[in-house]
Amino acid sequence: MLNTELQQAEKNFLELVAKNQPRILRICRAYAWNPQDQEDLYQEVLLQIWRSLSGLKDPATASTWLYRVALNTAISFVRKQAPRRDRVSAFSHEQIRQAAEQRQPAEEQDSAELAALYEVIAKLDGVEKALITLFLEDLSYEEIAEVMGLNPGHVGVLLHRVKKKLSSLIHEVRT
Amino acid sequence: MNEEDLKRIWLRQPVTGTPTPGGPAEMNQKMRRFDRQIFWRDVRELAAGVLIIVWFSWYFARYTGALARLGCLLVIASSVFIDWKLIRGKLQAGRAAPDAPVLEVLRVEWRKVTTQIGLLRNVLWWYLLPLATGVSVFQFGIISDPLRRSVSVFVWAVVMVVVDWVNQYAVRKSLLPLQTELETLLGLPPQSSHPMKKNQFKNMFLLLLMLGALAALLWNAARAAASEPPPAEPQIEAMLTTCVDKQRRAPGIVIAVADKQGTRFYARGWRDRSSNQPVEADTLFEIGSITKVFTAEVLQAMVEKGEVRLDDPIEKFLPPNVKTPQRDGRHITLLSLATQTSGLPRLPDNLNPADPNNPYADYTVEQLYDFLARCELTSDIGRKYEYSNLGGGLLGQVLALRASLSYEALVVKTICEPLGLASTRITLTPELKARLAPGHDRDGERAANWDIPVLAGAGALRSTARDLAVFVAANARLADSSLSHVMLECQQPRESTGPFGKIGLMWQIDTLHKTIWHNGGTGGYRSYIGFKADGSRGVVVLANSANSVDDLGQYLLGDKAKVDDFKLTKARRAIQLPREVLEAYVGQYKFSLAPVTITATRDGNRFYIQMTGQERLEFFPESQTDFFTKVVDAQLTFVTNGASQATAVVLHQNGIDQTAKRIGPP
Repeated sequence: MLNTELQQAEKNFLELVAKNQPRILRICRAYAWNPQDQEDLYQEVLLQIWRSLSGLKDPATASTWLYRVALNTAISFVRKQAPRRDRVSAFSHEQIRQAAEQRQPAEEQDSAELAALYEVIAKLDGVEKALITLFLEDLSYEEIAEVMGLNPGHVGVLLHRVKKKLSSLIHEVRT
Repeated sequence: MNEEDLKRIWLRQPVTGTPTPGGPAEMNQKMRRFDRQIFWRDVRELAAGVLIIVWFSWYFARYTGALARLGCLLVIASSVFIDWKLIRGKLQAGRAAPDAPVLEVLRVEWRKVTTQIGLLRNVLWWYLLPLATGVSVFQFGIISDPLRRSVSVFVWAVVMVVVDWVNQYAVRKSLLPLQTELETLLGLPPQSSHPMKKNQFKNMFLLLLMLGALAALLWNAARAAASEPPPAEPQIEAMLTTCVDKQRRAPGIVIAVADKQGTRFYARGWRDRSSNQPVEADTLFEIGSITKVFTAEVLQAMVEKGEVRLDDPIEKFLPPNVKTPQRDGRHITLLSLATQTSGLPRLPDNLNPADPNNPYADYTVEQLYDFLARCELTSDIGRKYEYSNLGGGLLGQVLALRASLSYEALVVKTICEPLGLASTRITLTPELKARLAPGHDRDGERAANWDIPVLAGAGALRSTARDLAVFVAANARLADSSLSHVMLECQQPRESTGPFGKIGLMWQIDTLHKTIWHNGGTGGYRSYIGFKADGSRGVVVLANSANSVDDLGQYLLGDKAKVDDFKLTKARRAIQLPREVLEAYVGQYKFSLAPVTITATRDGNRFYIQMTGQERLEFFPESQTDFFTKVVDAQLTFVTNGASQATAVVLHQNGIDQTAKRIGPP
């Protein structure tokens, strides 16, 4: 890479990251529990963004492109991280609740709700988690379809199923 | 809580304490590290195959046997196949870009894992079996001993079972769960839930292979260890007839067998084929290295008389101006010489006889001391067994100095007189000389006697079957003597010489057959002496030819079911070559892989070869470029490539061709 190209790439990268940092961090939180893992995952996502930056042709699609990179990295990160068989059971309810609460500043009103949300997200598998995160991130079905590699019609069906699971889980947590 | 609430909570969550991204330089560095890891992992996987290909190509060039070469080809073909399969596996699986749609990435992952599972599950068929078969065929090509062959097959069978098990373990423990997980994520019906069904055939195969290999191993081991009943009189007579008349391995062979019934002698053949004097129990032969056992028993006798100690360093007895080699502050002791662990080489490098047919005759004490002063030991003293004629000779020399007698006088006083061995001497009286059978080379041509004045302790004695029968009976405690205790001490195992081999004081101990033995050889003689450790039987074999008689001794002791097949070396006829042709071959040649040089010299029309650490031998031309020797089964072919000087020489020995490149004049 020529020096000016490198500088341009660097500028693009920093802009992109600065603009999307909250999005990336939220995904990291959905997939990694303790702050150390979140930090590692975040760095990993940044690395993958830098790595595949040349693949981002149309800046208009930057946000879906970014979600793809972040989710791919997160799903494979989780797979590499924990012993495969008891990944979920390794976290007791209590641990998850604590982790979720610790994350939140005390003054935050919705703190309890958010903790509950994280707790149920933890019980979903990688793909379900991706679907629900994208939904929470307020993406349209078309955008979700693009990130996941599904056809838009199918997104509705799948998302409906996941949301049902989610609300029954929330109900369970509350009672 | 409705969906919109959830979204709101989610999107409004504070994301504080945000880490900053590293600069591009740091990013690039991380990226390169990651790529390097992937690259080296691939290289490692393929490098093993490439290494094996190079290695066995070299074996292919080195070993000329058809079976060995077939084995090499099989190994090389398997490695090529394995590397091809690995590369193809990688290419087929493909790689998903990190910015591809999520499900596509998962599908690629799943394909990779599924391919990997397929490869590992069948690792026995496409990886282990072809390689192990190739290596086994190769080893069959270079090993002829059935026991060692079956050990090698058994080891390979075990390796296959273990490696296969490790791979199946990896499949079960990490790949199958991963595959299932990916299938769940993708919403695929789990395809992999028929885990170990079709492995029954493989398990049966491995079980049969192991059992077969084990059975072959046990059978061969039992056969090797089995002591046959020692042959009876008619069998011994028949064996002698075979060896002398049919095989023609020696003009004459004399055998003594001692057991509780007494001592019996068997003799067949002639002192010399052209004469009509038969060999018999009182015929003298050079006994070569059996002399070392006499030297060791002299040592032990002097130890028991308090004249020396086994841990005395040799310089204690050598003239004060003689410098001796040391290693790591340790000195060469009498014990290390007697157990062949002194680290001294087989022969001194300044053995340059005027007459190669009598190579030790003009070696002087000064030369010996000069060599000791310069010599660097090749291994730690007392650590590594390395058979040395120099060590045996030096031990005799040192003991003689201590006793202020000649080596011969010392042996006569210590052993021959107490046992009554009147025909065991180095210097022959006319009466003894009249009974000496002349020596013969491997082709049956007359060979000169060897005179070994300075290194006498290594091999100078001459003796008869009658005398050695007394000696072996005394060692086997079949007869009482004043030396019984000395002899017993010399038989105690002290160092290991290899699998199933130990050494006492010069006595070789075969722990498999429980036989204590030594052999000997000079230019025109071969000899064997041995006895069962339980003292049930002792044997002596003496022959006036340079062809080995070890197998006769082992047969007589019941350690071998029959004597070896024997073929006279291909009748080679020497031709005359012009001096200019011989001169073109004179020079020093070096092997690329072994620290051994071949020195070729010419003296008039005679042509000599000396290899590092060995006696100089006369070689005879049989064509313009091919030479042979009558002492060992080795031939040379010089390569000139049209130049006036030879550029290389090929040594043909034990079915192996090795090339040495010319490095300069001798």
